[in-house]
Amino acid sequence: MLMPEVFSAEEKKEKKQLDLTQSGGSLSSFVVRPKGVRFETQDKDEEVVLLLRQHPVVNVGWVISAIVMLVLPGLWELIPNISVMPARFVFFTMLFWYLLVTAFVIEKFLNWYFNVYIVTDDRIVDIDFWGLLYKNMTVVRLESIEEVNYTQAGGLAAMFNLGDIYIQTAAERREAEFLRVAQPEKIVGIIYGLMEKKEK
Amino acid sequence: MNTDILSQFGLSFWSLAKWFYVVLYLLYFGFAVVVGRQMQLMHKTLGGTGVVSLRYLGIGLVVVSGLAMLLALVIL
Repeated sequence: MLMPEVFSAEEKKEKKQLDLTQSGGSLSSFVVRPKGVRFETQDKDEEVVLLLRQHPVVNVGWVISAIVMLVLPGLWELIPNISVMPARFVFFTMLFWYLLVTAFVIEKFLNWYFNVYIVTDDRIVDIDFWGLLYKNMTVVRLESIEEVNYTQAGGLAAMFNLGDIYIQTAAERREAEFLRVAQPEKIVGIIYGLMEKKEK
Repeated sequence: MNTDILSQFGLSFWSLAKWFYVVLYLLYFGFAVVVGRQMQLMHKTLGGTGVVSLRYLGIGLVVVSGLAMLLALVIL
């Protein structure tokens, strides 16, 4: 009687893992069936199943840095002999500082927002933007995937349920990586479900 | 900086400092143009993510940095 329970448990697990009810907003790191999202090389009848980003917790470092940078001008008076600077130069120094902070925040946010991992019903796409001038798009077809593994290591991963997913094809080097994404187990389940669906 | 040498050429420390600031703002303006352009390319690569205002953020940054540069040129 144990065998049927295992198989029925597997079927239930498959159905649960392929629960693709639309969810997630425009700033989410885990969006199922995102509305209106299209990427550059997407085919007409290709559907985006998952739109993933790194877990929002990865932004905590630069957010804290930005807050400190915003508060720093309050220590202006501590600079020696600063009172000799004319008021209009003080104003433009402050203005430049805040413009720098704005640029820092925008660059960090864009980096997080547009570095996405996309899973469609046909392939997996990893879009990377490095700094401002470098773009890389890695595409892996579902039928060429041999293995999908994930790791969760560290306290942060345990607390926020985030991990790294590694997608392996027949090629020697690892083909695609989803780093620090939320719910890696669910993502791996969905990818395997899509691969099985593709085989049928 | 020896201000006596500067005054011989009709310059003052703060007049030189003004041009230093203008150059700084000009560099920032160039950076803002690159960021704005990159945001356009990002939208082309991955469109429809729902946050349309990001596109205008790039334009806003270019406009603000350009205005700041002009202000620095006029007021300093």
